Amino acid sequence: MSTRLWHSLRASALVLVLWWAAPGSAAAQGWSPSRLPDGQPDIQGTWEGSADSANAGHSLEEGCCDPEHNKMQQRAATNIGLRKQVIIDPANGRIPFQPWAIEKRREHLINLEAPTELQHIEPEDRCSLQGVPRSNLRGPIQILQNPGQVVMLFEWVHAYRVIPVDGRPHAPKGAATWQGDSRGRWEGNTLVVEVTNFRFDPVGYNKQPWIDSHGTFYTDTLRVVERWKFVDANTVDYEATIEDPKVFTQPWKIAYQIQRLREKNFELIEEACWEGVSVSNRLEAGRIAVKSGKQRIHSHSEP
Amino acid sequence: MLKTAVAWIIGAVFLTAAPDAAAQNMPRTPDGKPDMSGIWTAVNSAAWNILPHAAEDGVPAGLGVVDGNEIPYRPEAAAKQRANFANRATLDPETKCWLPGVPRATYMGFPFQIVQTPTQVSILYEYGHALRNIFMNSPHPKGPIEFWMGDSRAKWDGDTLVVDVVHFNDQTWFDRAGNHHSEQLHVVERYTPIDRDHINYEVTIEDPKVFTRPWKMSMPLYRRVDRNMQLLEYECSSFDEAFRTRGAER
Repeated sequence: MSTRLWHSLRASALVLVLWWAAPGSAAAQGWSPSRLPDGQPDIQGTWEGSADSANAGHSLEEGCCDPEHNKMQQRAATNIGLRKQVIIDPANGRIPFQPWAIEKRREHLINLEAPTELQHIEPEDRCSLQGVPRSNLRGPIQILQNPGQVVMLFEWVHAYRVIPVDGRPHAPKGAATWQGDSRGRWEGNTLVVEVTNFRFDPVGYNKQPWIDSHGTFYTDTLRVVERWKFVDANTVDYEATIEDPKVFTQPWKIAYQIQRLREKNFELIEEACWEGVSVSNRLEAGRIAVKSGKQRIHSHSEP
Repeated sequence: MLKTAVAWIIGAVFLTAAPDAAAQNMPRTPDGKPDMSGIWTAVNSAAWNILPHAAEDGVPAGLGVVDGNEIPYRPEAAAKQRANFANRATLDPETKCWLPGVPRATYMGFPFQIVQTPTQVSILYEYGHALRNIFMNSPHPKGPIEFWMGDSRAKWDGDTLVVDVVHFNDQTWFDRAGNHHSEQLHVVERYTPIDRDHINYEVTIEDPKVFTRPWKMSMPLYRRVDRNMQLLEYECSSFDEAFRTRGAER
C-alpha cells in the first residue's frame, strides 16, 4: 500500500472516530482555525485537488483520455473521463460557448491534433503559466501567508500567485498578466478571490492561457471569482465562477474538493518545464498530417 | 602603535555594530527575526557584467560587484569565459529564457518578492516567474541533483539570513559576459538588513572545477516603496521572438 494512500485511509478513520465521538461538532458548526497575527485563518500548508478533479485540467467537460494515450503516457488504462462532473452550472456540465467561440474552439481542437506552429500546441504543453482556475488543477499547491497576503506556490512550472487580502485596488488595466490580477477577502473561513486583467491574444486566442487543454479560451473581459471554503483543517470546497460576456452565453461554475496533502516532510521540487521542452517532432508530425490532408478534431470519443 | 591598534579595534567594533543598530529599523517577525518580507530590486548593471565595464550599445556601464574586481578562474575556465563572451548574443542561456540560476536571478533588474515564514523563505522572482523555496534549518537532500536554481537551505546568523545553495547544473551563467560555473557550484548568500528599506546582499562563490579559490560579490538590495507595488510578469518564453528563434524548436 502506498504511503500516501495509507495516510489518507488513516486520516479518514480518524475523521470517522472524531465524528462518532462528537456528533454535530467540528464540520457541522464550522471549523475554528488558528489565526495569524493579522487575523487571517491560518491555511498554510500543501494542498492538492482531490481525486474527483483528476483529468479535469485536460477537459473540464470530458476529462482525459483514451486507452492509447494512457498507454503512451504510462497512465492506468482505466483512467478515463471524469470521476465526477466538475462543471456544476450549467447543469449539463458543458461550457456555454457563444456560436463564434464554438467555431474558434473547434479550430483550436483541430490545430492541436496537427500543430504546424508553436501556438497550435496547447499552452500547458508549451510550459506557459496556466492562469486561474487552471493552475489549481495541476499538482501540489503550497500556501504561505504574510500579513495582508495569501501566497500560492505551484509545483507545476514553478508558478505562483500573490493574493492581497488588505483591500487594495486592482492593478491598472494595462498591466495584464497570464495569472491574472487577484484580490482576495475573507468571509469567515472562505477566501473569496476576484481575478481579472488576464493577458489575452486578440488574434489567435492561443498566445494566452487556456482554461483547459481542449481550447477553452477567453478574452479581455474574463472575470473569475474563486471561493476557497475551508470546511475543516484538511478540506477546501473549491468553487470558481467564470464569466466572459464576449465568449460565453452565461457565467458558468466549476466545483471540486481540494485536500491537504498528507505526505510528511513534503517539499515542492523544481519543475523546469520550458528548459526541457522539445516540440520539433510534434511540429514535424503536424506538418506531415496537414500536407497529407489527415487533419482531425482532437477528441477522446472517436476511434 | 597602540593608538593604531585601538583605532582599528574601535573601527572594527563600529563597523560590526553599526549595521546591527541600524537594522533595528527592519520590521521584526513575532520570533524576533528581521522580517525581510516585501518586494526588492538590485539596482546595478551586473546582469550584463559582474565585473567593471564600460557602456556598450544598450548596455549601461558598471562599477562591478565582485570584491577585488577579479574572478579567480583556472586557465581553461578563463578561456571558456572569453569564448562565451565572444558568442554571448546566442550562447547566453538567458537568451533561451531558461531559469537564470543563483545569484543571477537577484540582479536581473526585475523586482522579486521575499515571503518569509519561520520554516520557509520563498523568493518569487518576476523574471520568468522563477521561484526559490528556501527551507530553514534542514539538510540538503543527498545528491547528485542538478537543479537550475539549486537547493537552498538557510539559518539565521544574528540578523543575517545565511542561505547555502548547492545541487546546481552547469547551464547557467553569472551574467551576459559569459562568466560561468560548473555543477560543483556552491553559493552562500548572506542577506543582512541595513535599515528598513535596504538589505546588504553578499554572495560567496565556490567551484573547485572552475575557480582557484572562493570569491565574493556584494550589492545593496532596495525595497520597492512604489505605491501599490506588486509583482507583474516577464514571461520570457512567451514572446514570439523567443518561441521562434531561440531553442524552443529543438
